[in-house]
Amino acid sequence: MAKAEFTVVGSSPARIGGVERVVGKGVYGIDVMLKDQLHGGILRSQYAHAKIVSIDISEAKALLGVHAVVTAADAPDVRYGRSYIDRYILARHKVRFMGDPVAAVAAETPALVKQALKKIKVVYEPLPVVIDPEDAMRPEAPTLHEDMPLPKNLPDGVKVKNVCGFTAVHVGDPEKAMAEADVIVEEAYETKMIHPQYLEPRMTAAQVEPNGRLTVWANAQAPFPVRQEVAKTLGMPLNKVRVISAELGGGFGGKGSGITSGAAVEPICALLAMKAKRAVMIVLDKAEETISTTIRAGAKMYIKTGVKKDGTIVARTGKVIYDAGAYSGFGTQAGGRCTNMLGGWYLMPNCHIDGYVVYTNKQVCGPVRGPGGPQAAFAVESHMDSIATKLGMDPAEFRMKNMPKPGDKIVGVPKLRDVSLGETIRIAKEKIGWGKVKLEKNQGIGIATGSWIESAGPGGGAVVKINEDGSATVHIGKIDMGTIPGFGIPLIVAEELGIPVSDVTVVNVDTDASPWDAGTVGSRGILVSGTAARLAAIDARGQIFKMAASLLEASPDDLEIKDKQIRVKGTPAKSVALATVATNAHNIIGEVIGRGYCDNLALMAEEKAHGSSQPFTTHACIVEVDTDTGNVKILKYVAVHDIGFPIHRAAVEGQIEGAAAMSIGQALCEQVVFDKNGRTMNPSFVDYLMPTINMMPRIETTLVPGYPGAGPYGAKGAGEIACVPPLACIANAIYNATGVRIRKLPLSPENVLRSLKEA
Amino acid sequence: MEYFAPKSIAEALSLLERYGGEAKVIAGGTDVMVDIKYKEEPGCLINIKAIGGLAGIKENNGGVRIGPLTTIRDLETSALIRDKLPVLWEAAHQFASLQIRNTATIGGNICRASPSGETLTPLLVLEASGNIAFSDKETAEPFINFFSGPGKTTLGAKGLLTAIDVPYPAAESRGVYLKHAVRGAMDIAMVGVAVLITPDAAKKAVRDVRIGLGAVAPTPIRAAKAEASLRGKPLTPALLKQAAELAASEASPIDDQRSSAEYRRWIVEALTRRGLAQSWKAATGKEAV
Ligand SMILES: Cc1cc2nc3c(=O)[nH]c(=O)nc-3n(C[C@H](O)[C@H](O)[C@H](O)COP(=O)(O)OP(=O)(O)OC[C@H]3O[C@@H](n4cnc5c(N)ncnc54)[C@H](O)[C@@H]3O)c2cc1C
Repeated sequence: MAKAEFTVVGSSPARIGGVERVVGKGVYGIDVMLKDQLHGGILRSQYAHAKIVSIDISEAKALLGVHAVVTAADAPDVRYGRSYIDRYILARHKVRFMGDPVAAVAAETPALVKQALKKIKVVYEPLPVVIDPEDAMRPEAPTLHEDMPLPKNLPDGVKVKNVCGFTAVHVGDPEKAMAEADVIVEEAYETKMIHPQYLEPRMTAAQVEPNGRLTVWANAQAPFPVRQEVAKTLGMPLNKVRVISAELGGGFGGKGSGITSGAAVEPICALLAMKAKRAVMIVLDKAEETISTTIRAGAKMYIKTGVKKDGTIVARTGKVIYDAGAYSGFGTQAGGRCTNMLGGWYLMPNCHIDGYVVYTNKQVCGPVRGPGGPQAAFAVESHMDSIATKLGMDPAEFRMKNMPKPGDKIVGVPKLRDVSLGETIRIAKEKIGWGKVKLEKNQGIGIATGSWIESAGPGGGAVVKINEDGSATVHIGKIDMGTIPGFGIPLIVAEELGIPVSDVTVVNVDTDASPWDAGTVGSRGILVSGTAARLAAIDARGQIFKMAASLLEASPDDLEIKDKQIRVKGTPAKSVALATVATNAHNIIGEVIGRGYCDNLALMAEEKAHGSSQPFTTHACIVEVDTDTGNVKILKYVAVHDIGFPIHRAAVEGQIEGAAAMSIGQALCEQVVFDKNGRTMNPSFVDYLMPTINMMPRIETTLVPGYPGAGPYGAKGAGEIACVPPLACIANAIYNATGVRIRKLPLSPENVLRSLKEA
Repeated sequence: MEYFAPKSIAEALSLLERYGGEAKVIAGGTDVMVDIKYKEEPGCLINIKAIGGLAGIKENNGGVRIGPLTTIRDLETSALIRDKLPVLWEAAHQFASLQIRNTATIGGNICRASPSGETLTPLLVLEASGNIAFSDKETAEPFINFFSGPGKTTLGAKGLLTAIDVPYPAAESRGVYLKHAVRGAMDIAMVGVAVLITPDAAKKAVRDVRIGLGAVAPTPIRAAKAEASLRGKPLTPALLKQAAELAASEASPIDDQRSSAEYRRWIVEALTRRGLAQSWKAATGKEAV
């Protein structure tokens, strides 16, 4: 659809709520101040694996000003989890990583909280620690969860341990095809754990209301799952728990997995509030955040591909070992995604990949931006270059050779409606100067593609209420963290109602008032809430037109709305102000309430019938390698994306730049470092190396039109996919510069120099 | 925690005498405040910023006298430092962010005695000394003798650094400060190398050379063997390479979360080689041949 058809969608007005954030107004959760609020804090395990022999809280409790001390003994004997229900909110019997919550305190001041936490005496019996997931799978490894069974779908005869998820990809007959290949390339890749490092620390506050209901404030990406899990772990009926979303200062998926994300900080805070009979707030500090909350897991990936001399891929086999951390968390899902993506997004007639998700004594895997995708793409897209090298083929040409066409299938997508991948490659080549740009000594050029397959997932609703003056109040279930509530949703509602964007208010999530939603995760904001909000606005408009029709003596079908005026199409003189109709409505039905849903079944049926249009991307870059120090400098970076129709262009470009920057950080310097006992060695912004602006290239973004997706106006999700290609893109450019293939992240100066010296 | 803001050096010294090990001097506070938050609180804090006359940069018989409260930013914006002590200027320039440079003092950087402290290797190659005061005595101590371990100096618990004296190096000398860190100035140095080289009158041989190494030993050090291998000799690429390797062997770095010891040695070698080559070129207008 061309932009000209629309009034506001496709444009880039300033973010609603942007100014308040930039000037530092008190908009975040930490600014919440409740009456008689106490401060809460959590005692965390100092062992990565140990039995809890005893916990003595008597001294802590006795301190003046301490109002509550809680341990597992204060909570119901109930566990939580997603694929495996394997975790208590406060450790019982055992701790499984350094950072596992053991006890908590509520007191008058933060200093008193610290003091009280020190006075809690825990006797541990240390157990052997396992850090590497491959080691954890071996029969002699320590057992992390005594009562968790192995996945039911494990193939017969597989002897493994500590596995909490298994995914297998089977296409065709890879063994036979591999035997017929002209060239076989076999490699192993590895990525490290990174933390999403949103700037705003995690907070939560809890208060028991006079009627016994519990109110929880949380800067969570998924307030409804938080409500459900708080109710479950505290043994309360769902309707007795209300979760109010505090504004988010970033999440990147790290706040996206219910109470798992923050290691149960919400129910722990609620437990303190119940025991203290006062409101309690917990704010994590940076170090605590880094050691205890959910992360992007490291993965080991074995990949083997057979090709014909002409570059046609005939088969792939592989194995993924995905680190879940101490509990299953989001590991099964992220590891499953990684396993599927190791099959690539090119034509793949024969494929077999086994993916194991494994417990280790470390932080727990969460749905961090594009969960599983960057890891898989690092292997897949580096591997594509290795194969091209072996074939003596241009890497871009090799990719084009295996390009799917409309109607084809790729791993994870039964039928593609259209395929923009080739066009993104073509444009990226042009923008980077592929084959044209003159490279100096130690400079190299690289390319890598990516996909982020959108498919079935939970739906969601929207409510659009028309106020007396014709302005609109919108309820959706997704929170604001620089995502759709401040960008896409107001544009969509304004477009459909013919009102200015500034007349649209999107209400923050309150589980008592907002439509249910699975959370702001999975690039699903525009698809789910965008679709729902559009339909809700259309529903409201329909009701308004019905009321206006009698005033204008016309059929509702003949009406249109523009600039807050309802007019008869073709007879602009016959019109009535939206405000007049909206005010009248209040005397009749109270207010016009439009409702809309994103119906997952309908989406799936549509995809089944016609195939799906997936987002695709190609990134390309030029780097310079300092062969004395191993330092890698990115000289130019282009990101070409098909994200369907961009509803708020600047927001989409912002998401792409942010996601690319996040993965450039993972590529060049980020990792959570452990010692052999499982202690995080770099839990501060001094030692955890996030890239600074002086390491960042300008990310030159191009949006490719013409491939409408399943979202409103043909939009596709855009929040995660740009995380997918950068790791391999940079590794490929380093290879091009130095002739050295680095298969282990990060591409830090030390690792690069070591690889150069070992080559 | 008790808090004092003495108005004079004498007052500060008598507080230090009284509180000894329990006391902590605070200047810019960019190290002290971080320690208070993440390590232990000291028994008492002695803020020396109210003492007059402890900040400033002045020429002083054949050198520069720098007050310990002079901020890193003051050094960076001083024409005198830039002109006469470019090696020190370069370290100030590559020091953290502007916010930190505005707050951090050179005295704090020295007394913190971190092996990676940015200004320390330049001060060692410039053969600077500190004026050190105790309640009962005052001495001038060359910095080469001042550092005794990470965070440890001859000040002990009761001394105060009251001035920094930096003699001008030979007019024909040239030098550089090279910092290696993943994120450049924003990071704590993985390795810092300061080089100062003086050619002979014919610009053929090395008359004097000084090499300072940071972050690769318990204290900042001079690479004495590497220096000795160069003195009096024409600087050939082979000699240069050999000196760089010697410097790497003089370092005794550790493995930590930032990098391995082995990598630090590689970087010492690379930066020493680069530093010598750049300084030689600046001093003689020629490449080492
Ligand atoms: C974000 C950040 C980035 C940083 N980056 C760098 C960097 O790139 N390079 C670098 O070298 N450092 C860096 N630092 C460390 C720090 O900024 C420096 O060491 C700084 O020079 C300390 O100076 P200050 O005035 O803040 O010292 P303070 O914190 O006030 O004191 C430091 C120490 O010196 C003692 N002290 C101070 N003045 C005197 C005196 N006159 N006599 C006796 N004892 C004294 C104090 O007791 C304390 O032990 C960084 C710190 C932070 C927080």
